[in-house]
Amino acid sequence: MIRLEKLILENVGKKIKNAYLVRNINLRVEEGEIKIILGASGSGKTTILNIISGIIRPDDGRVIIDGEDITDKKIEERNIGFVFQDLGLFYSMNVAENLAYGLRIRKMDISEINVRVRDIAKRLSIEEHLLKFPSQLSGGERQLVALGRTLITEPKVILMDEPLSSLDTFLRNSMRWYIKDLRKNFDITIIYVTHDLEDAEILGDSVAVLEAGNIIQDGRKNDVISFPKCRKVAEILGYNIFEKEGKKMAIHPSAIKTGGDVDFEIIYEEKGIGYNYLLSTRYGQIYVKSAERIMERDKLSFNNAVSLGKCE
Amino acid sequence: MKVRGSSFFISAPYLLIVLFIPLLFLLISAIHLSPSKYMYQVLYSALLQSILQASVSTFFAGLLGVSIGLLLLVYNGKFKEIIISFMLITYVMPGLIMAIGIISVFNYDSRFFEIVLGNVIFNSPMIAVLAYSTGASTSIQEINSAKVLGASDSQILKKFYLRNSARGALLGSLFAFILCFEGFSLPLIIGGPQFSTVEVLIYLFKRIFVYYSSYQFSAASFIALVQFTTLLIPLFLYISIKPPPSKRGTGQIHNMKGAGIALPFLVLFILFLFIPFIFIFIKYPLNPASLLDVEKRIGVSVITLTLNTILFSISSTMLSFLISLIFVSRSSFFSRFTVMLPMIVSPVSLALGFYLAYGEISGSSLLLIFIFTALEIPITIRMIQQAVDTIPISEKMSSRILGDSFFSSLLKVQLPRIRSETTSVLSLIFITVMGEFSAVATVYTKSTETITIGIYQLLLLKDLAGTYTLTELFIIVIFMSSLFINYIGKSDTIGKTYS
Repeated sequence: MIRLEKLILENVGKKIKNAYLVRNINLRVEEGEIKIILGASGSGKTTILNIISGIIRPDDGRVIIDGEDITDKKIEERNIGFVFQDLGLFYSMNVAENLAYGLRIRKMDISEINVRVRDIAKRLSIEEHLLKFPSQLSGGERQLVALGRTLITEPKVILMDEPLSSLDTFLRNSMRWYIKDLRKNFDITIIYVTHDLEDAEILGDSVAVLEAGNIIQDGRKNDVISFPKCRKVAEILGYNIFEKEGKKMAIHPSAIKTGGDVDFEIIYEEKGIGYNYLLSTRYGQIYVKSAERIMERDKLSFNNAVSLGKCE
Repeated sequence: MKVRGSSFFISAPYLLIVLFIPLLFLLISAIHLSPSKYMYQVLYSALLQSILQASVSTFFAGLLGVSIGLLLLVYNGKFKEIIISFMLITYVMPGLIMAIGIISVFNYDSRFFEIVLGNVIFNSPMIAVLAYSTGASTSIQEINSAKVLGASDSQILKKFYLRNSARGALLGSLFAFILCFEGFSLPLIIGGPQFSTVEVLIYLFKRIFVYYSSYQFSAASFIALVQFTTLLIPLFLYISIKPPPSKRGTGQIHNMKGAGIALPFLVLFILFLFIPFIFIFIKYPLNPASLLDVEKRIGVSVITLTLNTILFSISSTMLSFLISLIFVSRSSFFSRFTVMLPMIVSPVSLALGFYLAYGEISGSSLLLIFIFTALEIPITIRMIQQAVDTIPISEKMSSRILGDSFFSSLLKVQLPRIRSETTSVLSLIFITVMGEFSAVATVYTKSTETITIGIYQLLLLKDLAGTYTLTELFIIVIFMSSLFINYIGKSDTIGKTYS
C-alpha cells in the first residue's frame, strides 16, 4: 500500500546559546502510522514535539505537514493535537468543558458541540464522568479525557509525549492497546515519544532512535528493533554488545539460545516469570532471558547476533 | 520559549507614557532652575537623611526580618497562618497611619529613631515573610536526605533553610532600602524639617515653596531627577533579582525540635508590630461623633472623602489589572523587565512628572487615577506573573494547541486556575491605593481629596479627635480587608486541587 507523507521534518535544529538540543533532524511520518521516537531522557524527544507543535521555533530547517511549510505558523493555527506527559488538563473545568474547549475556540454551534462531546465521551467510555473535574478522576480516566480532548478537534497529527509513563503496569498495558485501537478507529497519524521499548514494540509502525539530539536510526519497527545498525541503538534497545573476530556484534538477551558452541559460566541466576542470567563467556559478560532453565553443560548459540556499523 | 515580537509594541508605548514622557517633562522643568547655595545645602541634607534613614532602618528591619523568617520556618504549629496574616496587615497599612501611631506612642518629641522604628515595623514583616517563603521552598526530600545522612536540626536550618531564605531576605531588604529612601509619611509628619528626606523635599517644593524658582516646580523637578539618579543602582538590583517562586517546593516543612519555643517570640513580634495601632485606640477611643463637623474644618465631608477614595481605588485597580493582563499574556523577558522600569521613579516624583506632562489635559481626577495605575502596574504584574507561573506549562500550552490565542487562553484557562490569587491581588491593590498618601498629597485638588488627605489636613489643624477617629475607622477597614484577602488567598477550589 502506498502511503502519503503526512509530516516531514527537514534538517531541523534547535540550539540554546551555542549548544544544540537537536540538530539535523530529518524525519518522515506517513499518513495513518504511529511513529515512535525512542530515546533516553534528555535526548531531545520533547524538543522535537515542541518544534512540531510550534511551542518552540526551530533555528534551522522546516516543518512540513500535508505539503505545507508550517515552520512559522502560530501554534493555534496548526491544528495539531498534543497529549503532554502530565496531560495538561484544565483543572478549572469539568470533563465536558475540557472536551468542548477546542470546539468552542472554533466557534462551533453549541448543539453540534454537545453532540460531538457526547459522541467522543461514549467512544472513550467516559460518559459518566462528564460533569466531574479532572481532580476527581483516576489516572486512566484522565488519560482518556486528554485523548478525547485532542481527538475531538480532528487534528492532522497527534503528538504524544510519554503519556503513559505515570501509569501503573496494568493500566499502561491496556492503554497501549487502546491507543492502537484509536489509531484504527479514527484513522489518525500519531508521533509518540518514549524511552520504553515496550511502547515501541506494541504501538509503533516505524521507529526513530534519538541520541543526544540526533536521529541515529529510522525505519520500520521490525527493521530497527531486530537490526540495530550501531552500538548506540543497540544499547538503547537493551542488546548485549560484544566483539567477535574483530567485529562489533549485538544480540538481544531473549535471542540467545542453547545448542551452539559458546561455553559459559553462570554468575547470577534469577527466576522471575522466566529465567534471567548474567553469564561469563569468552565474549565477556552476557545477559540472557530464557523461558526455560539453562545449565552450564549446555552451550550457547550466538547465531542471531547482528553485526554493528557506525552511528551517523 | 518563543520571544514574542509583539511585546515590543506593548512595552514601548507603555514606557513612553508612564516613564519617558513624565521624565522628559521633569527634565525640561529642571533645566529652568537657577539653584542657590541654600538649595544645595537643603538637598544635601535631605539626601544624607534619606541614605541614613534607609540604611539604619534596613539594617534593623533586615536583622529582625530574617530572625522572624527563621522562627516561622522553625515553628510548624497551627497558628502559623494567623501569625503571617497579622504580619502582612502592617505591610498594607498606610504610612500616614503608621506615623500617627508613632506619634501616639512617643508624642511629638520624637525624631530620627522613631522614624527608624516606623520603618522597621513597616518593612520587617515583609522581609520575614519573603525569607520564610523562600526558605519554605526547600525540597523536603533534600531535608530528609540530610537527616538520613545524620544532619542535626541546627545544621539543616543553617545549611538549607537559611541559604534558601537568603535570596528572599536580600530581595526584601533591597526593597525595604528603596521604600525607606523614598520615605514620605514618617519623615513628613514626625520628622520635621531637620529629618526631611528627598521625597519630602520634592513634595515641599511642589506644594509649599512653589515660587522658590521663577519657573514653577523647577526645584521640585530638579530634586526628583537627583533622587531618580541616586536610586538607579538599588532599583536596578531589585528589578534584576528574579522573584522567588511562590510554589516551588512541596510546601512541607521539616519538623524541628524546640519548635514550640518559636511561638512566644512570634507573638511578641506581632505585639511589637501592633503597638502603634493599639496606642491610637488607647489614646483616643473611637468617637464617630467627632466626624460630624469635619466638613466645617476642612471644607469636605467624610462622605466625599470616602467616595473619592473608593472611586480612585476601584478605577485604578481595574485599570492596572487590565493592563497587567495584557503584559502577562505577552510574557517575555523584555516586556517583564520594561514593565518593572517605572518602579525606578518614586511615587512623589512620578506624581509630579504626571502632573507636568498630563495635568493640563486630563483633569485632576483622571490624573490621580493614571498616577495610581502607573504606581500599581509593576507590582500587579509581578504578582499575577508569579501566580500564572505556578500553572503547569502543559496546561497553558494545551489551550494554545487547541487553537486559542494568548489573551483568550489567559482569560479562559489561566485566570480561572488562579482565581483566589487574582482576588487577593485585586484586593491588595485596592487597599494599597486606598491608603496611598505621598502621590495624592503631591497633586490633589479640592475636588480630589481622599481619606488620607483628610486625615493629614485634620492633623495639620491639630483636630486630634477628628484625626484619630478617621484614622481608627480606616484601620478597621484595612484590618478587615486584610483578613478577607488572607482568607481568599488561602481558600482552594475544586478545580485547583489536583494530584
